[in-house]
Amino acid sequence: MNSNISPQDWEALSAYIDNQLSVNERSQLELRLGTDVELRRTLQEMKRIKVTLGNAPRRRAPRNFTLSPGKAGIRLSSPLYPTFRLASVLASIMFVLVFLGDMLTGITTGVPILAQVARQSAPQLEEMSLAQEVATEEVELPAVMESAADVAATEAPAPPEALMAAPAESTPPPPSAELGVEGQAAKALPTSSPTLTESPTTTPEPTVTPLLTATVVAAEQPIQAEQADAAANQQEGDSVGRARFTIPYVNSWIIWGLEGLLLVIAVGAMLAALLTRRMR
Amino acid sequence: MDEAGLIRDAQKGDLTAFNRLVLVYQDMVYNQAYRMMGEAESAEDATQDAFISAYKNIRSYRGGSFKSWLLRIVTNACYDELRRRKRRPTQPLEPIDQENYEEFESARWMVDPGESPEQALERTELDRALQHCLEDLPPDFRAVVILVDIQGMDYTEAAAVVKTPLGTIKSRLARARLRLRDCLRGVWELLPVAFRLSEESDV
Repeated sequence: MNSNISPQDWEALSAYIDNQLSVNERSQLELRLGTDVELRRTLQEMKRIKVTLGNAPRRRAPRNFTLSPGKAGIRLSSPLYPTFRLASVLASIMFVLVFLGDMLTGITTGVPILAQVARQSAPQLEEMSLAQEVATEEVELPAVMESAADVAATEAPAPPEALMAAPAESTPPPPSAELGVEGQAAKALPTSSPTLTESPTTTPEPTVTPLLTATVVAAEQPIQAEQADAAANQQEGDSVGRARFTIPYVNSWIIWGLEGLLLVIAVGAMLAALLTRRMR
Repeated sequence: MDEAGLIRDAQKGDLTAFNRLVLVYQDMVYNQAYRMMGEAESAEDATQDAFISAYKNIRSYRGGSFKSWLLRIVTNACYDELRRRKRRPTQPLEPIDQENYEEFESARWMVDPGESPEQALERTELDRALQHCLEDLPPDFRAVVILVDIQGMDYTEAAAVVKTPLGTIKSRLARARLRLRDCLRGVWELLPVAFRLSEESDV
């Protein structure tokens, strides 16, 4: 570095060759350049640096730097993406509606809404269950008849008064559910009793007929009582109470299943939408 | 070429329009990166990163010189890479000499095989001398002298690119040229004769 050239001189010379000096600065520097040989030599060196850099070989780009959609961060979504997105949104909305509806109904009435719907159809469901029980009753009834015939055959024939008195003692309706079921069975099939009593072919011995008649008569009394109770219960809405403990149990599974199905659809469609969105 | 129209289309997301701008400016951007980094591979990476960043941020371009805007992006990309290297210095990789199983110590493996030996020598010697001296400069000085003396920008444009006041640009440029003069003094006689003569005639 030239000892007589200050940093300010260097800066002035640098600006001078770039034509960045004001008119006054330029004229003052040119006056000094006319008298100062060292300053003039330094100017020549600086110009040479500038020319050297300006003439430096330019490199061509070794390849094209144009951007592909992937490099530019442009993601091309699959045509299935809108479908999955819509399915996810709809399933989510339906899930929320079902869930909130069930929750709100449970809070306000204590019984979920689908359970209330089930109450309205409770009589039909009861008939269906009764029909099933009758079917089992028909299977059991011949067995009862055979056992009664066996008893009559092995034991001495009892006096008719004794036979009639025995059912009289059991006239009060037992609290057990079996009698109720039998009563309902009798209600559902009222013609079964006359056929049992009037048909002589079903009784191999004459003594069996009064026994069966007495048994069926004894059974008819709790049936009538049960019918009266059922009518009263229907009037009081007690059948609704039965639906509360039985039918909602079934319907709660339907609700849970529906909610689970909607949740699975919503999550699955959302994941599929995300996957198809990331496709390029 | 309707540069303003291409920029407007690119701002609307037209990648084809942006790529036409890339084809126009890629040599300039690559040269800036190469002079800043001193390596072809790093310069390629910086150039590609710069164009990706430019596309993603082209909506923030508010007019003015598009060339200056691109040079600012690539210069910043080079600054980032140089800072990263300073934190984690690495040994530069050079190809192995298959006969001696030793790394080449010079940059002659970078010579274009299509050039004549004389041309290759001139280009290589000049490149080596200039690049060596440029790399000795601090990055801030290097960026300014490349912008003004190699890219041909004026002080105002250079100040806009590096976001520095005009006075600082003047000062940095003068000090950078002084350092380059001292650095090149030792290799001045090694430069090709034709190149030296043309310089003398220019001066």
